[in-house]
This record gives sequence, structure tokens and C-alpha cells, in this order.
Amino acid sequence: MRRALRAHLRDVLAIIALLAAAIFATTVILINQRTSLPSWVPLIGTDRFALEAEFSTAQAVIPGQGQSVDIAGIKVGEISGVELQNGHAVVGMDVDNKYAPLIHEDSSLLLRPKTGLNDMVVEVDPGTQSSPQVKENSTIPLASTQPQVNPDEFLASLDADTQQFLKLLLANGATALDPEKGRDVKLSNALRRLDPFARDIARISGALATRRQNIANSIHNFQLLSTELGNKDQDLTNFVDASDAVLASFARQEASIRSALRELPGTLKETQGALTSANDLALQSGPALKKSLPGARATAPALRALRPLFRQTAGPIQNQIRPFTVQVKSPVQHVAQISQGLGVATPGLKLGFTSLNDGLNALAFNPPGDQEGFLFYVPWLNHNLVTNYTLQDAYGPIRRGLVQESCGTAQTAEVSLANEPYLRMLYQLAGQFRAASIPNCGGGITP
Amino acid sequence: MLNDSGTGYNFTTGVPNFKEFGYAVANLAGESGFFDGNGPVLRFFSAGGPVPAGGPVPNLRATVPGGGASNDALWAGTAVPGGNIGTRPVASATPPFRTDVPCQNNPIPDLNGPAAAQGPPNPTNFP
Repeated sequence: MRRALRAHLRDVLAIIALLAAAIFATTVILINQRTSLPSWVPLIGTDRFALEAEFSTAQAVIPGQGQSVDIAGIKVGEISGVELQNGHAVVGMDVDNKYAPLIHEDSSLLLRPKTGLNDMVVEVDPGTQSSPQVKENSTIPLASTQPQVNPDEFLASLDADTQQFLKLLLANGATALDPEKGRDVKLSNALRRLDPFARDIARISGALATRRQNIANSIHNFQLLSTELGNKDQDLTNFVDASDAVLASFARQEASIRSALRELPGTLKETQGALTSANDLALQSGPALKKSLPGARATAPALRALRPLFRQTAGPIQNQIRPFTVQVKSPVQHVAQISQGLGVATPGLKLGFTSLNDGLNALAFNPPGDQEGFLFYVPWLNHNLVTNYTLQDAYGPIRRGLVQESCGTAQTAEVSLANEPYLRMLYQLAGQFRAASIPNCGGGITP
Repeated sequence: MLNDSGTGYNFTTGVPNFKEFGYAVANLAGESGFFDGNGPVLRFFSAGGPVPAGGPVPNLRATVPGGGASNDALWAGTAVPGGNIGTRPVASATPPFRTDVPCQNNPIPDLNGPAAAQGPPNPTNFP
């Protein structure tokens, strides 16, 4: 044997290499097939979640051809077998382990052709989260599955009249959409024009959906409120009783409340005015207070410096000023009594001083220009009064004067002087003007 | 101090005006210092004379009914040969009466200014 192997070592090695290549090629082919191997196959076997489902018919279901099991269009497994049990088909499925928890006991399955050649797939509606997950090797009942329905089956279910009507409908539809007359294009254009309408309808539907959600939230919140109120019924009863008592008190105080409400508008008006003034004050006082900050900071050292003075003045205040205050209490009371009368006289004094001030203002007013005011003539009055007494004798100063008379006065004096000699002499001594000397009053001078 | 001098006269007293007020009050008392049993007598010297002077009454509001132009004027005679020299201060319009201007805001009047110049004689002289 050893000699045979040594003699044909190269052939043996070639055979071993060919076997290894064959195994490798087989493995690659199997891995890339649409089917999967059981978990007990080493290296390329996979462990999958086994599940069965009952269908009334498993038409066109062929295991081992890679027919898939889908959830929401995603392949989650493959159909592994089909067999007849109790007059209906039982389809076996291998589901990937990672997708198995998605399938619940209330799930539903549907057989559908994937292509026009009836390449079937099992579409799985995984069910609700509230339902428990299906167990491995369990069977989904017939009530939760639905097989493929062929068009001939659908048409065969119709009666003869319906089939005739359907034929007429299809014939008329073919006439209405006759491509030779361009009716299909017209219908297409008409349907295309519905696109904006459809967009608006979609927007409205979206708003309605949002409104529906809002209404649902409102109803939910109202339900929470109602529930809470239901739990607080005793508190509500107490609140209603207390409100009743309060309203009864209000009813008893109706007259007072009505009187207060009548005064409320005036009060609010005054309050508004006060708030407006307070606002102005606040606007003005803000900058003023900011400016007073340095002064306020500076008062602290000043107050500290004043402490010795306060200590020194405490004794005089206590021993001298306080007894003095007690002694002057009675005189101050008398002054207060006098002040009452002064208060009555103050308006008159104010008016008098106001008039006096006006008089002084008028006296001192000096108009612009060369013209002078009353105050200019007061010194000249003094001066002219002094110079009026330039004559004097042993008896004292004598005022100089000039008596003026009208024409009628002079003529009357002429008549009187003719009958009264002493008056005529006095008239002559005074140098009084005669009627004959007045222009146009008895001749003589013409102005 | 007021300057009251001109051609043919000089009435400047040479003292401040407030002193002139005192002099004037003393003269007012002195002119009535003469008395008899009925009381003080005001002594008055008439400056009348032969030189006519006169004219319309200043600021006459209404004429004398039926009196004519002669009765709307006042007349006198002066003893000075040349008649009246003039008036000081010069006669002007009545100063404005304003009470709304505080007295401290007014300028001090110019006592020897243009308004204190010598004016024409009043009453008017007749040759």
C-alpha cells in the first residue's frame, strides 16, 4: 500500500485537490442558493424560527423555490413546506430569528402572487403588541389566513345576468377609452387636472386628521377632568355650599355693594390719575435716584462722624432743651390761638401784598427806548418840589405859583372886580391876567 | 444827582436826590409855618405878570359847551420879560402801565438821559 501510494503520490494529491475544489464549489453554490440548510448542517446550516399556517388552498405554493415570507414588503423568511391536513393546506415557514418576535398570536397571513407567473409570497400582518408572541412550531389557524383569489374564481361567483352586465360594461368602457379616437389621452388629461384638487383634498384631509387628533385629545382631557371631578365630588359639594353661603352674604349686602359700585368709577378715575402721576414720578425719580447714589454713599461716613456730636448733644437736649420745651408749651398754645386769627387775615394780606407788588411793578416798569417809566418822574418830583421853594423871607419858604384862567373866568372876574374895589386891588397885586390880554377875549392879543 | 441847568438858569442842588426829598419835606412844613388864631396859613407867591402865556388845556377831554376856542384854553401872565424858559423833564406821553414785569427785571432809569432834557415852555409864550 505504501509503495503504491509512493508510486502514485502525484495522482493521489491531484485527486485530493479535486475533491477539495468540489467541496468548495458545492459550498459556495449552496450558500448562494435561495434556500437555507438546517441548523445541523455544519458551517452553512442556520437555525430558523419554524411556523405553520393553515390555508384553504395553497395554489402555486412550491417549497424550496425561495418563495418568501414578507412583513411590510421586507423578506423575513421562506416557505419551507406544504402538506394537506384535514382537507386544507398547511404551509410551513422558516422565519429569521431576529424577526420572529414581531409576529403575535393575532397576526393574519395572506397568500399573494409576487409576479404574473404566480410566484407566491406569504404577507404577514404581525398583529398587535398587546397580543402575546407566537410560539415556535405553532400553527396559525385557518380563520387568520386568506388564500389567493383568482379572477376566474371571482367571475365564476357572479350569476349569468351580472356576467352579461359586466361584459356590456367592459365593451362600453373599451368604446369610451378608444385609443384611436384619443379618448384615453383625454381621460388621462382630465385625471391629470385633478392633481391640484387632490393636493388640496390631501391638505384638507391632513387638517381634518389633525383636528380629529385635537378633538380626541380634548375628549381625553375632558375625560380626565370629569374623572378628577368625580373623585372630588365631596369637595365640589363643599365648594357649592360655600358659594351659596357667600352669595347669600352678597345678597344681604346688596345695598352696600351697589353704593360701593356707584363710587367705583370715580375711584378708578382718581386711581388712574394717581397712577399716571406715579408713572411720571417714577420716570423722573429713576435718574434722580441714580444721581443721588454717590451722595447716599457719602452720608455713611458723615453719619459716623456725627456720632460724637450726637453723644455730646444728648445731655443738653435732655437737661436744657426738654425743660425749655415744657416751659414754652403754654406760650406756643397762645401763639397757636393767634395764628388762627392770622390764618383768617392771611387771604386779605395776600391780596394786599399782591396789589402792592403790582403797584411797585407798574412804578418800576421801564419801557425800552428813550421813553421813561413812572420811576423816572419820582426823583424829578423831589427835585422840582425843592426848586419850587427858591423864594423865602423871614417867615420861611414861599411857594411860587402861576394861576391860569380861561376867557370866561377872566370876563366874570372883570365884572366882579368892578363892584369890589378890594378884590380889584388883590387882583392887581397878584398880577393876574386880565380879559383884555387874552387872545380873542376882549381884544388885544391875537395868537 | 440831577442836572437841572441851562441857558439863563441853574437849579442843580448839588446833593443826591434822596436828600432833595428831605429838603422838599422841610419846605412843605416851612411854607405853612405861619399861623394865626385860626391855624396855619399857606404862604403863596404869585408869579403872574404882564407877559401873556397860555394855550390849549393839555389832555382836554371835552370842550366847554358854547365857550369857543378861548374858553378851551387857559391863560396867565408871567413876570419874566422873556416869558417861560421851558419844562424839565420834557413833557411826554403817559408811561405804560405794566404790572406783569417784576420790578427787579427793569433797568434803572436814566435820570439825566434824553427824557430829562429841557422841553419847550408850557404854557406857550406870546410876544
